[in-house]
Order: sequence, then structure tokens, then C-alpha cells
Amino acid sequence: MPDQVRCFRCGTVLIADGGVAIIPPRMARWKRPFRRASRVLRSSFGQLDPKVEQAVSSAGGIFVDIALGLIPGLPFVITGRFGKLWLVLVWLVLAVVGVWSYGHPIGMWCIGLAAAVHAWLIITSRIWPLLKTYVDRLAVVLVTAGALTGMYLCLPRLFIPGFALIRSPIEVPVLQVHEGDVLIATRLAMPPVRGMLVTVRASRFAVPYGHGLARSGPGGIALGQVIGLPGEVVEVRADGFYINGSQLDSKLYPVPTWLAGRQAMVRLDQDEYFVAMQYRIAGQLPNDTRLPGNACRVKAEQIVGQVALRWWPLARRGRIRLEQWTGSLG
Amino acid sequence: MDRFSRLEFGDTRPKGPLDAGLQIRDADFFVQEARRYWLAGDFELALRAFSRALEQDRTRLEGWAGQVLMLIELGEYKEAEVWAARALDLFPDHPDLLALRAIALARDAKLKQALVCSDKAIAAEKTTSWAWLARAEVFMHKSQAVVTGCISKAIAIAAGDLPIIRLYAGMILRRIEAYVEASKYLQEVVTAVPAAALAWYELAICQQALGLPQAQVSLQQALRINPHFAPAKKAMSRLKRGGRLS
Repeated sequence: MPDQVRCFRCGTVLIADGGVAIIPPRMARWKRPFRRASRVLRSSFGQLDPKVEQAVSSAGGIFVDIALGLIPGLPFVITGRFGKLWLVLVWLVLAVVGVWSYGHPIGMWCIGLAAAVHAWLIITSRIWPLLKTYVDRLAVVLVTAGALTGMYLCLPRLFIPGFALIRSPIEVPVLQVHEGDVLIATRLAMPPVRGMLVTVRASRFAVPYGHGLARSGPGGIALGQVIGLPGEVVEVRADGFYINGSQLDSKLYPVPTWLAGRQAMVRLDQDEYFVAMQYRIAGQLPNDTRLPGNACRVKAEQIVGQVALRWWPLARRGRIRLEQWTGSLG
Repeated sequence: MDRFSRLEFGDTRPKGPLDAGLQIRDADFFVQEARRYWLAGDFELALRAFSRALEQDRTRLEGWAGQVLMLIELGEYKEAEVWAARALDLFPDHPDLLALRAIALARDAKLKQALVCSDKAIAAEKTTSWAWLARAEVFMHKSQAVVTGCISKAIAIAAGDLPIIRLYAGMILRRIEAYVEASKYLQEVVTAVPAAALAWYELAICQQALGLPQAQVSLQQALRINPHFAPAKKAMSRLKRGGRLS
């Protein structure tokens, strides 16, 4: 340094002028509790550090780090690097907000950001120093975030049998379900009853009208309301559904828009249900009386789940209870 | 001198001693000020005074070491560690700075790094009391015998700063709950430096832990010296409520 004179033997500074900073760095007050928590964690788990770290590095370094990193912040806890744990807090907040408002754009953004933070946590634990260019780093963050988003979306399916998040294409005002609502479906807990909102594995549908009739709902799952039970005769008329000649209340059993005004009679087999599902109409449909039967008649094994929760909008969030199917709909 | 003292009225009043004037505000002065503040438990003011000492002389080791120590006392361990590293740039491998860095790391629960620093401080050509105190701090979670051994060595080689070394030794021993040994050292400190509110406070904690009634007197003494000493005030209110001090 030009502004310093040092001892030629030990390197100690002998003369220093204004170039040497003398005001020490100070800690912001808000950091104090975080530092304390980090210290407590370090002193609690720090003793495990050498053995575990050795085990981690001997078992294949980076890959073990990635595997451990699937639980956010775990590599940092194991190796006693608690400085980054505030990022785990950020991740937690984003994940909670994301799950809470799933179905709303804010929720989707939060889940995406949570995935990005999680990716960052995984990468910075060991991989980051190995990536030399910004392009590499960006690519790795994006790929990891994408993979994690996929993982987040699959995770509920692992823990909740038959889990599906569906944006409702149908309106059932008596159940407070409106078009566009986000519903959560789980595995079927009982045989379907009339009025129940069910999820149907739509991949096995035989829809004979080509592009004119496209199912609604994500992936291979479609949402519909059970109208006819096995062995019954379902009639579709201008004023609603008829079961074995008796009319159903059209407020409780609304007719999907694409079926409105059509005339049809469907005789169900012993393993069949009539499920009123919404379809997107892309063109002019033929005036075929077999159309409702072809589109709405489903085998019992195709019904895979039932709607358990109204998730979004928040104002109408709540369970859809069994009494509502059997009690109010009868 | 009053207005009429130069008038000739045959005044035979004896003249007082001449005013010695203000002390020169050099690095020495500010280091002394800083130590006074430190012993009074006013770490923030002590830190500022050490900075002012460095303003006067940037090559003053006591200034750098004092700043690091005050950051440690203020609980800003990461900053203390950074600042110790900065000071070590200016005073390479100085055992005091290495020891203080080890203390900062040990307080921040980074024991592996602290041990490395402590080893370096001990291995230095002219090791100091602070190196052994740092050793005691690093091995604080081990047996009490190791800690007391390190402290004995620190006191054995202490030269000019014996009360300060004893105070720090007492603080370490108090933290490992060796209250009898700690109060022995702290008693010596308060005898040598009665204005050390920090020592009175530490002594009060030891006395209270030992069930001695002098704890309240020691705390009152600490608060008399520094009425704004927050830990002492808190301890006093706790003592009045009948709880433990530490």
C-alpha cells in the first residue's frame, strides 16, 4: 500500500495515513435475533458437523447435496452453515402463501418464486462455485427451479390419494360451486350418489364427434355431476333431467350448456353412471340423440374421485360435505 | 480568578495551585478513555473512543484490539471477526489479534475456525495473556480444569494489564459457572480498580449464584459508577423481584 510503511521483517504497519479505514462495520439491529438463532443452531448441531460432512462428501458430494437439498436448507443445517437459513424462512413464507392462494395468479407466482428460492438453496450449497459463467448459473437455476416446480405439483399426489386440483367448468349454485372456481378432489370415499361432484378419468372416453366436442378439465381428469345411477333411465329434455320419468330440480341438477335444448334418453347398465360434464363446443354439433349418452355415460371404474374442497375463491373456501349430496339434493 | 483579584487592597489570600490545563487529546488519551468506558460497561462509548484513538494514530495496536473486543462485548461477533481480520492485515500474526479473532469465532459458535486461530495465537513467537484467554474461551465447553489451566497461564504471563486480564478471566469463569474462582479474580479487580462497574456487575452475579447477600451491594456499586449500565439495572430489578441474576 502506498500510504503505509511496514516493518520489513514482520510486515507490521509502522506508518499509515488516511487511506486506512478505522470505523468498524456494525450489525443492523434487525439481524440480532437471526444471528442468535443461527448461533444456537450452530452450537446445537455443530458437534455433528465433521462426521456428517465427511459422510456427505464421501458419498458423492454434489449428488448427495442435491438429494438432501430437496428438504430446503437441510445441507446447511447438516454442515453447520446457518447463515443462509434466512432463505429457508423466505421459502417457507412463499410456499405458505403459494399454497394458501393456489388457483390465484399471486399463488402461482409465489409457488414459482418458492421453487426458485429452493433451487438457489440447493445450488449455493456446493454447486455454485463449480459454475464459472453467469449463463451456466442462470441455466442451472432455471432448470432446477423448473424441476422443483414439477416436484411441488406432484407432491400432494404422493400424500393425498387421488389428489387433483381442478378449475370447475360447471355451475352448481346449491353447492356454491361456480364456473372458474378451483376445487380439490380426493379419492372416492363412497359409491357415487346423485348430485355428487366427481372426477372422471377422461382418457377412456369414446367421444365420437371429433373436434366438435372437447372435454374440459386438466390432463386426463374431467369434472362432472352425477345425475343417473346404475340401472336408471335418464332423460334429457328442454326443462332438465328426468330419472325414470320423474323430473329433477334443475337448480340442484343444472343441465350443462352444451346439452341444453337437446332431447335424449339413456338407459344405464348396472355398472354405469350418467355424469353431466361440461364440454367445449368448437363447431356445429350434429343433432344426434345418442350424443348425450355417448358423452356422459361413464363406467363405474372411470369415476376416480370426489370433490372435497372449494379452494378458490377464498370467500367460498370450505369443505363440500356429504350431507350436501344426500341431504339437500336427495 | 475572580474579577477583583488583581486590585491592590492588601489581599493576603493564599494563591491556589496553578491549573494544569487540559490533557493533550492524543491516542494515549483516547485509549485511556476507552478503557475507562469499557470498565464502566459502556461498550458503545468505548468503541467510539478506540476509533478516536485510531484517528490520532492508525498504527496503534490497542486501538484495533480494543475495537475488536468492544464489538465482541456488543455481541457483534461476525463484525468483530471481520474487523480482527482487517487488523491482522496491518499487524500480521499478532497474537492479541489472533486471540481476539478466536474469541469472536468461539462466541459465534464457529469452534473449528476458532481453534485454528487460537492455535496460531499460542504458537506465536511472543505469546500473550490474550492468547491463553482465547484458548480458555475456545475450550469453554470442555472440562473446567482445561479452562482454569489456560487462565492460570494467562495470568502468569500478564504484565501491565493484570486487572483487565483478571476481569476477563473472571468473566470466562463466571460463564462456565465456576463462581468461586471467578469471584476470587473479580474481587481482586474491584480492589485494584474500584471504578470498574463491569467487574462489580460480574462479581454481583457470582455472589448471587453463591447465595451471598453482598450481591446487592456489588450491584449498587456498579450502578453508582454507571447509572446507565443496562445489564446491571436489569439485574437489580430481577434481584428485587427475588429471581436469579444470570
